[in-house]
Amino acid sequence: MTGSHPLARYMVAECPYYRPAGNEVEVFRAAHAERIPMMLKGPTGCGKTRFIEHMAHVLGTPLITVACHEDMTAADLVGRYLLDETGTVWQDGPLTLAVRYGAILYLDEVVEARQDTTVVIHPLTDDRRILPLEKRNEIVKAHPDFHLVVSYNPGYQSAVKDLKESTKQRFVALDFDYPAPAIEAEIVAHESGLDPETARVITEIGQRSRNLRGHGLDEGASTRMLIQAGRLAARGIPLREACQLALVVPVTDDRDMRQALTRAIDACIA
Amino acid sequence: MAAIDDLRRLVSARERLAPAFAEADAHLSSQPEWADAWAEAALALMRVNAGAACHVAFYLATARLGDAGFAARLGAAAAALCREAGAGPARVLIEQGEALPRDTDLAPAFAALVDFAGRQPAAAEAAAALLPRVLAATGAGGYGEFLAAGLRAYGKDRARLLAYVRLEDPLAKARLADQGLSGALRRAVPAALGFADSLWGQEWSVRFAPKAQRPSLALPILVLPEAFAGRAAGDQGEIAAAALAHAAAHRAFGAGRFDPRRLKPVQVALTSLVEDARVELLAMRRFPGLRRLWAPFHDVTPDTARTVPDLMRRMSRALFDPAYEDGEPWIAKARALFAERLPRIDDAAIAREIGNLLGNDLGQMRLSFNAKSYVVEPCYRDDHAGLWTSEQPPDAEASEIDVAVEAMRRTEQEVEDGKRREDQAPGEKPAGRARSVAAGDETVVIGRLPEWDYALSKARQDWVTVKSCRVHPGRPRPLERERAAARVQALIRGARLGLPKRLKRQAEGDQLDIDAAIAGAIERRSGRMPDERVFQRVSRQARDMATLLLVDASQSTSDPAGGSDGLRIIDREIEAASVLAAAIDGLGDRLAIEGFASAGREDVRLMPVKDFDDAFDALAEARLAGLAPGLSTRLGAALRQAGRRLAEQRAWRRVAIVITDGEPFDVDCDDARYLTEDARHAVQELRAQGIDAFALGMNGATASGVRIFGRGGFIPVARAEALTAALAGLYFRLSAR
Repeated sequence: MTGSHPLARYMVAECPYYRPAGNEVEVFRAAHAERIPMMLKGPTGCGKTRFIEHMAHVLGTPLITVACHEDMTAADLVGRYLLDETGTVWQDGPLTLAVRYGAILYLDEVVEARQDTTVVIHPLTDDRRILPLEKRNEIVKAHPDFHLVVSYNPGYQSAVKDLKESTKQRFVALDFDYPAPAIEAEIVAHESGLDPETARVITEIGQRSRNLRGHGLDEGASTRMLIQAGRLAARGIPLREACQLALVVPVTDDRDMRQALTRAIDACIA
Repeated sequence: MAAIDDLRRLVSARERLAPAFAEADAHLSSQPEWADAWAEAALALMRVNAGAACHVAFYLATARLGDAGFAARLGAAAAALCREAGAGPARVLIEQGEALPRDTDLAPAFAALVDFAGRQPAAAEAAAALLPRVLAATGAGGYGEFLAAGLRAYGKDRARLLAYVRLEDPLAKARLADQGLSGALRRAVPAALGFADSLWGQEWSVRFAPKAQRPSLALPILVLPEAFAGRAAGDQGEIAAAALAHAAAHRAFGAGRFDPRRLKPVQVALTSLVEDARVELLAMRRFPGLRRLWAPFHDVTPDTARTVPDLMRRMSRALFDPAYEDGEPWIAKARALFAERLPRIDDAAIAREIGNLLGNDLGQMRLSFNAKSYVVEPCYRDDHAGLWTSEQPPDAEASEIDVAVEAMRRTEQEVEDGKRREDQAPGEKPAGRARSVAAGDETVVIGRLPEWDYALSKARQDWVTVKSCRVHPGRPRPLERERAAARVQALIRGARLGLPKRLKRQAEGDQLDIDAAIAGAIERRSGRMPDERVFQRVSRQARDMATLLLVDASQSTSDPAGGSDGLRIIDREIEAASVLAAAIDGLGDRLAIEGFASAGREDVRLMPVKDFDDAFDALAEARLAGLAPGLSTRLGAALRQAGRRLAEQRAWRRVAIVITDGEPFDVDCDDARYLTEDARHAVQELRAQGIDAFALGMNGATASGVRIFGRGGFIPVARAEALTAALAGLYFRLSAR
């Protein structure tokens, strides 16, 4: 880490493609300018992660991403002592790195982490903007560029998995959803390299499967899945089969649902 | 020794049988390859004590049939029938032997008959007597559907059920005309519903009207005929999908109802057909693949007769299919009128304009139209009744729908105050093998619950009555307690290992134990061997958890569990529950235990053994031991009630665990899928409330268990002995998270 910026390797070098669906870019810029913690809410595969990568690039800020999981401890975020030949060395965790040197810290699927783990962000998310490292007896004052962003899928959480009220209330939230059909078709076409008409058909099929959400499907086909279907199709897999492989088989094992979706695909393809 | 020799010896001891047996024996000698199978069947009849008359009938029938193989199958079926419903039906079945078709495999029909006899022994004889006649119409594969439909309609009404199997009931006649198609149609409906749902995001319900010929639209309900006659069983699903797609097109693009006043019947019919074409065209613009779905049904050719119905079919095809060629000027005019108005295709009024003009033309062509006999073509289209404000549906169909409604009414008869209406069938003994429980002050109605009807895709509100039923304390088996105690100790010991919050001086861990590290560094610098265990680990036992354990106490749990100790399934369940409860009691977790059983939807019983905050004391243990097998398994209702109980509990994690030995089943429900789907829905409702549901299933009913609880939520227990370990394992896995 001898480069110009200690977090240089966390810079997003190339601009990731992102097609805004509304005013989320402006909102994010404003929130970022004020360093207000942000929560990105939305179903899986609708572009939350892509959005934050895009924004990190546009804003020229390093981006540290942590995929949260159930066994994550506070130490995984904050850091811990390790042993080397001379004794102990402190190793900053991703959160401390971002706080010390200034970066966007992105906690992906934050509800997957246990509630007592997520409370470590509390002192960072009010006007104190500090991170106490009680093991090192250190208080890290947040770098002016530190910005906390979390993402969160309200769809499949049960009451077992939710953020504490005291955690929730520290964020402003951007609601993401699957983009409007025309925009989604544009995205699918761009990402898969398909012609616009085929991309439109794939998007149309995606809408059909979302109609079944809560009626047998837990989640409809995400934009990510549509892009995957598009990629298969662009590689020469017949459209019907590509949709079957990418949109039907992964989401359900139920025979009736599969048949319903297969028929819906058939109805959408000329 | 061969079965035939056994049989000969047995028969020789009974004079009455000898002459008839000799006749059969003579035929057997010409078919030695069947002798053993035949003798097995004859022995089976003896074993079920079918009586001399039945044996004689069997021997004589064998002689008359001259086909020992067929006779063997018939005899085996008769023996099974006798076991379920007595010798009378068995003899009747044997006597019908000659009338039965021999070129098809009758095994499914025999199995269905035996199953039916088990449920409704009183109607078995009539069913056996009419087997050949019904089979001729339904085929062996459709016979089960025929009986199931009767049970569905008149399951609790013996008189009407008897009329049904005697083919005196109108529903039965309709069924006979159906030839096994309706089953295929019913099975295909969920997929078709999902299809329509996904296309337009519309919610549909489907009902069935016996004897109706075409679907009928009454938004948001589509009334389907029991079957589309004249089409193969394999096509019924396609037709259902096409019909729903067509109905959905009406719903998406229709514009209210037309006013039929001042229109001639032929104009009404034509307007409807043009409207059909209009909405289909709009639907196909959105979903071009629908053309492939509907096209096969437009199969009329231009060379058909010049009658109004055929011209109408040709017009429908011409408006649907641009590639269709027809020389008839009237058709060409219809096309031209339609094409002229394409720019106004969003306006339903064009259907009326075109219908008026075309109707006048038909009148001038001196072609007559018989509205009474008119049936809409192609078959997937609805009967147009839903398109008009006050059009009276033809009388015939109205009465058919009445039949269906009446049939539904009979089965959905309301109960008041949770008590069965006694005037319905006095002296009727409960169907099935269920024990009768004195239901007096022992049971208290605690609520009404909805139930999910998968066929309607709809919850029936306040459909199930739940009662709390007091359990008479029983005596816990000492053996069980002893064995349990040892396991409990092991479990508690295991649990205690995880109890400390922070484990210091570990060889591995996710944090350094600073004290140990410092000590180690000092050791090393002073030249001694350091202790390498310098890590610490946090082990979490944050067990804020409320668990409701539901113990299946239905009749089937009285079956032996299959172990060497001769315990019944329920004993295993009790043992598992008591081990878990004792273990939990020591740890202070909240656990409630309830037994459940049911006798129809108005009598779902929950038997509280232990409440969440109660200690698992001697009394609770005695109540647990007092759970006795009886009645049926209405799992969905039990789960919903469990959900209500758990919703009141404040806990980080709330879990319902079911121990069961089979699929959901109840006396008033003969559609095996109904209760399974309901239970599946109940589990989904629980999950939506943040309550997790798990099941431990014995007896290998894995398919339905996985269907209900999901792959992650269902744990098949292959050996009943393993139940205790499986339950404890599940609990500790849950609590460790």
